[in-house]
Amino acid sequence: MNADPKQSCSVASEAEPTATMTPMPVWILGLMFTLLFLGAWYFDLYGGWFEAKVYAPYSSVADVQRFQPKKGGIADTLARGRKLYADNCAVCHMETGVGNPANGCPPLVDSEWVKSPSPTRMIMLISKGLAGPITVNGKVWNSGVMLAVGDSLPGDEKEKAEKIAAIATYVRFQFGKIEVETKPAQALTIRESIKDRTANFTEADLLKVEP
Amino acid sequence: MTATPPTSPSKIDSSCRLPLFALFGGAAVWLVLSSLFGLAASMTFHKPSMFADCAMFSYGRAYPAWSHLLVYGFAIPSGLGVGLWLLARLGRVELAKPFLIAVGAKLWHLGVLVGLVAISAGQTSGYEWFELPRYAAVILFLAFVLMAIWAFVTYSRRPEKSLYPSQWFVLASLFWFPWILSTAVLLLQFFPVRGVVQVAVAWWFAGNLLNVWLTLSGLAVTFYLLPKLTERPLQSHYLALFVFWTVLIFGSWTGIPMHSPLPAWMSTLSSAATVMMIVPALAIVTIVIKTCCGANKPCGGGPLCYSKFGAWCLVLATFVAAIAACPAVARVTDFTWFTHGHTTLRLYGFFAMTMFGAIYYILPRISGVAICPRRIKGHFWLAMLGALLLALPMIGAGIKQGLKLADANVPFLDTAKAAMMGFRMGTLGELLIAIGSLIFLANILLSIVTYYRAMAKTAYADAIAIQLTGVKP
Amino acid sequence: MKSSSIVFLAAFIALSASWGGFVLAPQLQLGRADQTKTVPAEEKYPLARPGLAQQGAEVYRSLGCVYCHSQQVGQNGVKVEVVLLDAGTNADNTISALAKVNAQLGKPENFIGLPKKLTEVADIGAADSIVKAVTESGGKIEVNVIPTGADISRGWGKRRTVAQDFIYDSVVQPGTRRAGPDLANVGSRLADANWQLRHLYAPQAEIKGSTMPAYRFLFEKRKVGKVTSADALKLTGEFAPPAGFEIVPTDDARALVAYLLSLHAEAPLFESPVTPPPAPAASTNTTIVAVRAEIKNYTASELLSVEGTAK
Repeated sequence: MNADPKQSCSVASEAEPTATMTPMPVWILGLMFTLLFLGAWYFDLYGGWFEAKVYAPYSSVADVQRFQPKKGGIADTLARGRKLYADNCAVCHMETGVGNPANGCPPLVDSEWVKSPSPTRMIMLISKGLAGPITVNGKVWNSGVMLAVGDSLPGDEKEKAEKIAAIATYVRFQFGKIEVETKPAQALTIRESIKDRTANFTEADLLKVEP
Repeated sequence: MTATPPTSPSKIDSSCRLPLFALFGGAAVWLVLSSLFGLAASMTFHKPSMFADCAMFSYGRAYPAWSHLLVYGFAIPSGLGVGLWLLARLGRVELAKPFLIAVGAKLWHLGVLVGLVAISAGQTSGYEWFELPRYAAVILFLAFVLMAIWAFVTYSRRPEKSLYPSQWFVLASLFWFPWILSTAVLLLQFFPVRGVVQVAVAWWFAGNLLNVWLTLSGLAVTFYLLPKLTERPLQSHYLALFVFWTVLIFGSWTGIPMHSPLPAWMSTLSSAATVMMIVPALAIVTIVIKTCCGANKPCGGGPLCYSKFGAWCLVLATFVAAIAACPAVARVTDFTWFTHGHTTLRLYGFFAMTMFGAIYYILPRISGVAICPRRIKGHFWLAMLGALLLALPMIGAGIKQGLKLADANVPFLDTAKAAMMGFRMGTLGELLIAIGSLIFLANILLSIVTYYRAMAKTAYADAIAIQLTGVKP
Repeated sequence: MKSSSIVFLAAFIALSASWGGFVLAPQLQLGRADQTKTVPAEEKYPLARPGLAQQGAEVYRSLGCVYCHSQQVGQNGVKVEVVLLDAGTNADNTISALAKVNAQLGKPENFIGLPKKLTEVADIGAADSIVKAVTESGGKIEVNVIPTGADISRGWGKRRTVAQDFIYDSVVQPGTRRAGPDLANVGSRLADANWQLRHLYAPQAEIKGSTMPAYRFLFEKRKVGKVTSADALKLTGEFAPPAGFEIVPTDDARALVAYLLSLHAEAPLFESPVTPPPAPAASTNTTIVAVRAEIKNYTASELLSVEGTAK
C-alpha cells in the first residue's frame, strides 16, 4: 500500500485469533436437557399435540368437544328454520309472516293451516306448492301459484326432509305459537307418500288430508 | 482447489476496500435516515396531530420505514460486509471479485431505496419486519445472492483449511438469509398462502431474521474481536460449537407469539424454543467471561467496549425474551411496548453496537485512515446510553401497560397513558441514538473521503514526478 | 469443525426442520381451509367481504394500522352457565324434580326472579341431568358456553379468534401491538359509520385524550356549495372547519370505514365454541346499510338545483 502519513493505526497484532480446545462444562449440557424435558412437558400439557382445531385455552379435541352445544333440540331446528324461511319464504309471505295482499300471498300468522294439529298439510304444501285459491281465516287468497319450494331445495331426499321439517317447525312456532318440533322423519314419510306427484296441490287436495 | 499461499493481511484488507466502502457507507446513511423516521414515529405519540396532513410521516408509514431502514438498510449490509472481511481474513485469502461484490452492494442499496419509497407511498406489504413490496424484495434477493456467491468462492479459495468459529457463523448466515427471504417472497407476495398461514410464514421469517440471522452475524464478530483485542485465545472451540448448534436449532423455532390466531401447538413450540435460547445465552456468557477475564485490557471506548456491551445486551435480550415467553408473563406483556423494547434491545443494544465495533476495527485497516478515538468513544457513549434508554424504559412501560390491560376495569385510555413516561424516555434514547448515528456517518464518510483524497494526491504526485524526472517513483 | 460440509449440514438440518414445522405444516393443516359451518345453526362462515370493504382492507394495510391495532381476541378459559328461564306451569313439580337430581339447586328461592343463573358447571355434559329434570317437568332452561378472558371482559369479542376468521383476508394482519384497542369485532362494537369517519378525522373529538393520530389527509376540505354535502362530517368545537367550508371523506376513508364495519368474529365455531346471542329480529345487514345511509345519492331535482357539488 502507498505510504500514507495518516496511517497510524497499529497492525502489530495481526495474528488471527485461535480457540482453545477446552472441553465444554457439563452443567450447560445438564441445563439444556432439563429445559428440553420441561419444554416437552409444557408441550404435552398445552400444545394440543399438533391438532389443527385445538386453540388455547383448550388442550385437546376432546376438550373442545366438551363445550359443543348439544345437537338437535328445538332451538337448533328453529335457528335453521329461521334462516331457511328468510331465504325461501319471506320473499312472498314476508319476514313477519303477514303475507302480501298485493301478490295474493296469504298470511301465516294465526293461520289455521299453520296451527293445524299435525304438520302434514304444511309439509305437503311446502313440498309441492299450491295452485289456485286458498281460504285463510275466512278470507280467500289467490296468488296464482305457490312454487314447489320444498322440492327445489338443494340436497338429497334426507337433506330436503330435514330442511322442510325445520321450516315447518319455525313457521308453526313463530306464527302459530305451536312449540313442537317437526321431526325430519315425519317429513320423510310424508314426502315418500307424495313423491310421484308432479303437479301443485290445490286447496281441495289438502282438505282431503287429516289436519 | 490449488492452494494459494497465505496472503498478507494488508493485501486482504485492500481487496475488501471497494465492497466494504459501498456496504458500510450505505449502511451508515440508512442508519441516520432510520433514526429520522424513528423519531417521527415516536413524535406521533407525543403530539398526535403532528402528521395529520402528511401521510408519509404518519405512524403507520414512519414505523415500517424505520424498521425497514434499520434492518435492511443498516443491519444486513453491515453484517454482510463484516462477514466478508472475516471470511477473507480468517481464510488468509483475498476477497474474490471485489468489483462484483461492490455492484451487489449498490444493487442492495437500490433495493432498500425502492422499498423505502414504496413504504412511504403506502405500498407496504403489511407484514412486520418484511414491509417491502415484492419488486423491492426481488432486488434485495438478487443482490444478496450475488454477494453471497463470491463470498463462497472466496471461502473455497482459502489456503488456511482449518475453520475458526467465526467462519461457521458467517457461512451459516450466508446460507440462511436467501432461504428465509425467498420463502417469504414466494409464499407471501408471489403465491400468497391462504389465511393465517401467511401469519405463520411472516412470523417464522421475522423470528429467523431477528433471532437467528442477527445472532449469527453478530456472534461471528464477537468471537473474533474479543480474543483479538484482548490478545487471548477464545475459550473454547467446543463452547462456540455448542452455541452454533443451539442457536441454529432452537432459534429457528422462535418467532410465534403466545397470542396468535394459530393453533395451540405453534405458539407452544415457539415459546419452548424461546426459553431454550437461554442455553446458548449462558454459553456465550461463559465464553465472554473466560476469554476476557484476566486480560487487563482497558477498552477505552473502542471496538472492545462495543463488542463486550453488545454481547451482554444479547444475553440480556435473550433472557428477557425467555421470561416473556412464559404464558403467565406473556398474558401481561403481549401486545404492549414490551416487545418493542425487547426488539430494540436486540437491534440497537446487541447488533448495532457489535457492528459499530467491527466497523471501527475494520475500516481503518481497509482505508489506511485512522479514526479519531475520541469520536469513537463519543459515539460509544451516545449509542450505549441511547440503546439502554430506549429499550429498558419501553420494557418497563410495556409491563405497566400490560398489567392495566389485563384488568378489564381499567379504561383503555389509561393503559395508553400508563406507558407515556417510559415512552418519553424512549424518545430521548432515540434522539441520542440519532446523534450517535450522525457521528458514525461522519466517521465513515471521513475515512472514505480521506482515503480517496490521499489516493488522488499520491496519483497526482506520481504524475508530476514522472513528468519531471521521466521515472516512475 | 474442520469441514464446511458439517456447517452446511447443520444449517440445512436446522432450517429445514423449522421450515417444515412453521411453513409446511401450517400450510398442510390450514392452507386449504374453506367456508365452514357455525355450530349449531350451520350457517356458512366466514362470508367474503363486500367490495368496498375489500378495498378498505387495502387502505388499512397501506396506512399501517396494524402497528397500533390488533385484530385478534384472546381467551383464557371458558365457563358453562346454566340459566333457568321458566319454571313451567307446575313450578313445584319442577322444583322437586330438580331437587332429586341436585338438592342444592332444587330450592324454591332459585325459582324467584327468572330468568336466573342457576349454577356454573364444568362442561355441557355436566349439565345434562339438570337440563333433563327441568325440561321434562315442563320448565325452560338453557346452557350457555361463555368464554372468559381479559379481552372478552373488555367487550372486544365474545370468543377467541381462530384461523377460520381470516381465510378470506388477502393480507392477514392480526397485529402484535395494542397502542389502540383491538379491532376484531369493531364492526359489532362501533357500527356507526359517521362516528368512524369523525374518529378518523379527529380522534380527540370523539375520545378525549386519545393518542391516536389524526388522519386529516383522508379527508377533503372544500368550500360549501349551495347546500352542504350529505356526507360532510358533522364536527363541532375546535375540530369544526372554518365557516363556509366542509370536510368530506375521500374514497379511501369510505372504504376504510366499510372495512372496519365489516369486522366481525363472533360466530360460534367448533374450535371456538360460544353460545351465540339471541338472533336479532331484523336483517343483520347493518354494515352496508349504515355506510350507504351516509353516502346519499342526490335525486335529479336536487342535482339540478345545486351548483357543482354532486358526487
